[in-house]
Amino acid sequence: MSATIISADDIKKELPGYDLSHAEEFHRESAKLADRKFDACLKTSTHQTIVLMSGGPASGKTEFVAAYLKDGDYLIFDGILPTEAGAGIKIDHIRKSIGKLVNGSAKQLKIYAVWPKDFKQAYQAFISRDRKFSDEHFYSKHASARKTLLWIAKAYPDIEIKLYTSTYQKGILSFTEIDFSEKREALVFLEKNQYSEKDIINVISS
Amino acid sequence: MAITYKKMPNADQNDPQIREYAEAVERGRKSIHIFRNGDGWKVKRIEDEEGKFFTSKEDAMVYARENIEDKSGTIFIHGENGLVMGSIPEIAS
Repeated sequence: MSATIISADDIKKELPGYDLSHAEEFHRESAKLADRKFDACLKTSTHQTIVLMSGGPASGKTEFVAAYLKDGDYLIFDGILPTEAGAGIKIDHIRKSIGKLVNGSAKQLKIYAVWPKDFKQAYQAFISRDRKFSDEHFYSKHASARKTLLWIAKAYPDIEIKLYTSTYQKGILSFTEIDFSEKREALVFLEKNQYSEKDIINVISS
Repeated sequence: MAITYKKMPNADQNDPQIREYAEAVERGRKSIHIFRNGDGWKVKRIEDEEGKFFTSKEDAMVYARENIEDKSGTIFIHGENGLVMGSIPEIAS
């Protein structure tokens, strides 16, 4: 069974007048449509596992999905999860819907976060890819995605969070899972790896 | 308590999504950035440890133009706050 993947970036391509050089202007609309499409899929999907992707722009989320998830039994929302409010609404909505049994077994929700091992690598991809956003989008979303992930880990301790890093070296994009033996350890790690927008700007410009 | 780093199986580098990402990073590596630096300007590629310093923006631009890799990269000019103000050829030098 192939995964069902909902992505605001894919939805943008279907919007009238969309062009890659002005992608940012279409983001609000495509994000709204992606939310609606995801809600509709939640009602009808028979996928056993629902995955919310998390991570800043050009961190490698979509590439991770293409490499490891697209052929699995997943309903995937390929987004950034930039705000606590938005993530909370989405999670609560999913949890209500997965109370129902599918083929006799309960569905599950997982968060898959992808962080670039090096912000500079992600920035290079972000600033040079075909769909154009201001670099302010890069800094703010990387900072807020990490903040939201930490919030989810605290507010929903029962939800499984898997964290991966992406690395691009010698022409190869690869991923590494960061596996924590205890939830407490994961929380400490997430706390230690929070960055403000200014912190990330400093990394990029240094 | 222990954190384990587990390398994932190799991703298919011919997947269109992954190829697109790789191409974007490679394009990004060719680009040159001009950052404000105190009273002057710093010119560097993003991955460079150190940059070249200039007191005038004009000299920084000349250096960036001369050093842009095979003339196919982009020159990005960053403002006081670190954000991109414009890029060549979009910005007048």
